[in-house]
Amino acid sequence: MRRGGIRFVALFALIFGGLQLALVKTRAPVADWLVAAPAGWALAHALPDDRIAVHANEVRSARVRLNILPGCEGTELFFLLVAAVLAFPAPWRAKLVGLALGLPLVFALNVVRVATLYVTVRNLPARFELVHGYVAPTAFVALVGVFFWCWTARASRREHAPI
Amino acid sequence: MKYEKRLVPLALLGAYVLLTFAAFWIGDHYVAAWLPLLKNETQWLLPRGLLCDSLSLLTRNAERLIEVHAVTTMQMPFDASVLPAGVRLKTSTLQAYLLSHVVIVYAILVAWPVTHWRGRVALLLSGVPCVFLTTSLDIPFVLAGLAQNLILGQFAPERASGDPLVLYYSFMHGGGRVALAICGALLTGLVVTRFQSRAPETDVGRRVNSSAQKRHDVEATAR
Repeated sequence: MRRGGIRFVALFALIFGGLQLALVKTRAPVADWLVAAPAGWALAHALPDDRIAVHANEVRSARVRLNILPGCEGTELFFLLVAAVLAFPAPWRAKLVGLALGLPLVFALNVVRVATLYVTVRNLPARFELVHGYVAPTAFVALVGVFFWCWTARASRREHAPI
Repeated sequence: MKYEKRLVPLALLGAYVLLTFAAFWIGDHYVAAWLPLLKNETQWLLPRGLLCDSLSLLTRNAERLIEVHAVTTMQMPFDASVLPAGVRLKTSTLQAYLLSHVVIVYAILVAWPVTHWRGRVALLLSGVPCVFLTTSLDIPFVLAGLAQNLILGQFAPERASGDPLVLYYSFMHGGGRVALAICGALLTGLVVTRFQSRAPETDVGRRVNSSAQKRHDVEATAR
């Protein structure tokens, strides 16, 4: 059996499970500061006429009210990246680089996700189901997957570089 | 081999886009086929004294949902009060969440590098039990967990946060389903490529294995 692969999946599941369980148990209000506030800030600058305000986990304007409920914070994107990078057998330096590049990317993707949902409700309400249910939960996971693939290519190449 | 490396992200994104739109446009039939099994699994998971009356697809606020109607078949005593028999309750989840398992698992399996078309066929066929398993570990637990959360939230809120079914539902709903589908797809890919005995090792497997081997060698030398 490809033990490296199985070990990677087991470690990935363990780290993701631990992080996710910690969030579920503590019920930390991450949606407020991790998602709603930055997305509201970005939207307020992109759409100044909307007069967007953020109240806790709610992004609100005269036209749209977007409630970011538990489970919709997008924290899984962060956890997936952290778990995948830590589980991959690479030097710690490469892992740190992966996290240093990946976490800001995930943060930006999460802001884009909420902003996209806002704009969809605002301009294309008939397409809300497609974006909210089908695209948003998985599209950014696919993008993080591509980032991870590219990072592993680089991390593996460095690992095998002649010393 | 370089071609293979470049192809993986493109195949992943291409398959993801196609599968997502297929799920949106024709997913209803797939979800409808799941309903009888979902009903049985949800019934099995529901707390004692709660009967899964019906499980159906419906549209509410322009979103397609899977909705469970349950009814209490006997009194359910709690510390300070009693939930009487004959009380009806309903819980629902997005139909899209059920479809996300097919999308994630098959996007990964389509992108998984293989050297022969037989390997691809084996991967795609092995995706069926994988999707079956990951979906079964998600949606029925979410529906039953929602019902349990609803009852405990009303009658024993102090127990809700520690209840295993509620915890598992929160875990799955908060992103666990994505990780579950990814792990299922990766394990399927690893197992299938293992049994493609003559096929050369795939690129992803080689990366993980060679990287792990190198580290092992370094550790052994240091000792």
